[in-house]
This record gives sequence, structure tokens and C-alpha cells, in this order.
Amino acid sequence: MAEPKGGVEGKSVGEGSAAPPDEFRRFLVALAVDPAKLGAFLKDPDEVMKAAGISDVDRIILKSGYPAAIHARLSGQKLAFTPAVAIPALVVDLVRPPEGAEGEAQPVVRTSGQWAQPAPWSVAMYPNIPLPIFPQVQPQIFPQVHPQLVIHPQIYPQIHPIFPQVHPLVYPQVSPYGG
Amino acid sequence: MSSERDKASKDDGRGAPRRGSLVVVGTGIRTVGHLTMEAVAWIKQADKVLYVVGDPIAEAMLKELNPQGAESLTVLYAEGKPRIDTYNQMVERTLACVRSGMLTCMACYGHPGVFVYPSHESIRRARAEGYAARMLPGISAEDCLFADLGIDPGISGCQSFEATDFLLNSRACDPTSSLVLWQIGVVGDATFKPMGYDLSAMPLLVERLLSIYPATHTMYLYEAAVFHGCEPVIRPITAHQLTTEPLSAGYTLYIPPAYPRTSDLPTYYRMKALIAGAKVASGAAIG
Repeated sequence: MAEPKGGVEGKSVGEGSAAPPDEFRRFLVALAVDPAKLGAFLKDPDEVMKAAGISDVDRIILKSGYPAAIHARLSGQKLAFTPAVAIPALVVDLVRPPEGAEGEAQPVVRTSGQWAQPAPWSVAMYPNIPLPIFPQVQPQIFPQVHPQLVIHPQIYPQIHPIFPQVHPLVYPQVSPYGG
Repeated sequence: MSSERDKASKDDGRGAPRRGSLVVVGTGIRTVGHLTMEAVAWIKQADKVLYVVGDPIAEAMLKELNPQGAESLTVLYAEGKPRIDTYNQMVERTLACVRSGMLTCMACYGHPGVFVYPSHESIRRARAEGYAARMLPGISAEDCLFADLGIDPGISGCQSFEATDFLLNSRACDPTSSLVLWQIGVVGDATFKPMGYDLSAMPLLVERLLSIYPATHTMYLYEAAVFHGCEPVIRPITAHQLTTEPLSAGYTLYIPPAYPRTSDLPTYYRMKALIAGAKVASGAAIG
């Protein structure tokens, strides 16, 4: 199946730099098993992807943070930018007759300029990918209950070996409420 | 099968047939970054790699590291089939490889010992039959949850149950500690359904939670990110919303503590007395 073309003026954005179909997958596998490559990727993802021959489309997919798009790409689905089709709008103007002339205003139909294209990172560029169902929120969203009684954990190991040496009569001599 | 016979026929260098063995490894939740060096080494060395992984990167990685021996066990799942039947088939397949003399590696996503019945059962039975078997730790969804939600289980404590187990087995729950309910999107359904599970039992779970927590208590649906650069799913909800919100099979429910802890002052003072007494006793012994 031919990869759909798109982008500005009908040219595929990835055209000319398209990597072999499995290059994207191979690249991610290399990141998974080679810490040096992963480190380089974390430092400069664009440069590493470019050096690995990853196409522009795949680069945008990987950087999108959109799991469904990445999964679809890895599952063999080929994605491309949506074609840059100009969307004409018909505008109807009511033209009044010249001053002094009789008659009602007449409708005149004209076309407007094309509408704006979606931004390159827009989900609208992947029409075959379902939209995310849930909005995500930031992590770290709730406070934790702090310890009410701070006891240094190193106290515990000291109790165990000495425990049998403590006389049981120590217990009744201590008021449970500190008196 | 012929290649399996070939491998099984290898000897151990002293003429005796080589004994099979089993090592179970985890690929982590996010393959890019969670895979350990030791897991990679075992995957490469194994005669057979039996795997249960969810994401395409993990599968591609296993096939690349061990192109001859990689074999998926996910084909054993079937729509409507009880999951326990599938798990037992996985155990049987694993043991068959071990018995045939192969160094067998079972690779599971996440931590191979957390909510993975086939891995524990395979090791137990392999050892019972006299084969060497061990498990290596991996990064589990719970590890990701602690990192993504900023939870330290050492501060508030943490209880962790499989959701259906929590519902059916009268599990005692302490609302002053954190509670993690696994497989919340599968509660009450013991079969495999790729297109969504039957959650008819969810009202029972909600009823149980409302008997423990205030109705307004905020809980969090959580799902770790599988791919690099993606954010985890973190959705605040209340117990009531569990019956109306769409749930993924991969969701975990995290419930923060609803009440402060109660200090046990008598025990605290007894403990202090014990320590003071021990110091006195040790001082007397020295003197």
C-alpha cells in the first residue's frame, strides 16, 4: 500500500528522508539494549534520530508523547501528514446598489483565502489514530500524611539482641503516659 | 521441534545429557529504559526465550536478541477463555522446554514475580523436578506508580491487593495507609477479553470501598507510560465514578490514606524504657 503523501504543497514531509519500514523499530530496540545509545538519545534526541536515519514523520511520532500513535506505528501502521488541502470558504456579501439607484442589496458570492493548516504536532495530523479518551493531570497531586511520631529506625536493631537482658520489672515502672 | 531436539541432544562436555534450567526475567513496563543488563544477557544466552509482553518494542527486542529461540506465549490467550487455563498452558510449555534440556528463559513484562502466576509456578515445578530455576527482578507497575505519584510507602504504609481478591476474600483494609488495587478494570472477570471486560461486579467493589472510605475521598486511576516520552495516566476520581467512568484493563486504583494514624503511646513509652533499661544493663556489665 502506498504511503499517503501530504504536507505543504502536497509533498510528503518525510519524502526524501524516508527510512526503511523497520528502521524505527530497530532504533527503539537499540535504545532498549544499549545504555550508551539511550544516553545519547536522552541528551539530544533529534541528533540521534537524524543520525540513525529516522524519517521526519517517525521523529514527530516518537516525540509526540502520544502512545496510540507510537503503538500504531510500531504495529506496522504507516502514518503520514495529512495533505495540505486548501479549504475554501464561500462568503456571501450583500452589495448595496450605488447611491441614488433604486433596488435592494444583491448577494455576491466570492471565495475566501484558505484556512490555516494544523500545527505539525497536532493530533489532527494522524486522522487514523483515535483521540485520547482521558485528559491527563500532573503527577504529585496529593500530599502525604507525615509521620506523627518520628523514631529513628536504627533504634530497632539495637533492641533485639539486648531484649532478653532487660528485666521484666522495667515495664510497670514506666507510666504509659509519661508520668 | 527439530531444533529443540538438537539442543536437547547436546551434552554437558562430559558425555552426560545437559540438564535444562530456567531463568525468569522481566522486561519492565517501559522496555526502553527498564530492561536490566542481566536480563539482556540471559535472553541472549538462552536456547529458548518464552515471552509474554505487551508492547511491540519488547517483542522486537526479544526477537532481535534471540532470533532462533524467541517464542511468544501470548498466542495461548483466547477470547472468553479462563485466564487460569492459559497460565497453566504457559507453565506446561515452559517446563517442556526445560525438560528437553534447554536453557530456558521466560520473559514477562514488568516484574516477572509481581502478579505473574506462570512464572512462580514454573519455577516451583522446575525445582520440584530437580532443575535449576531462578527469577531476576524487574521494574513493576507498582515501582512506576511510586515514582509517578510521588508516594513513599515507608511514610504512610501501603497495602496492595488484586481487585477481585480484595472484593471476594474479605481482605482487611487499613484506611490510614495507602491502598493499591490491581486490575481494577478486570474486576470480577476471570476470562480474557481483548475488546473490554465485563465490569458488572463493579458496584460491589464501590459498595465495599464506601464502607471504608468517605464518599468524597479522592482516588486515582493510574496507568504507567509504556513508551519513552509519554506521560502516565493519572485520573482523580471518587468511588462512585468507578461505575460510570471508562476503565482500561491496565488501570490500577491508588487510594491515599483517608485518616491520620493513631499513635500507640503506651507501646512507645515501653519501647523507650526497654532501650533505657538496655543501656543501664550494658553499662552495669561494663562496670
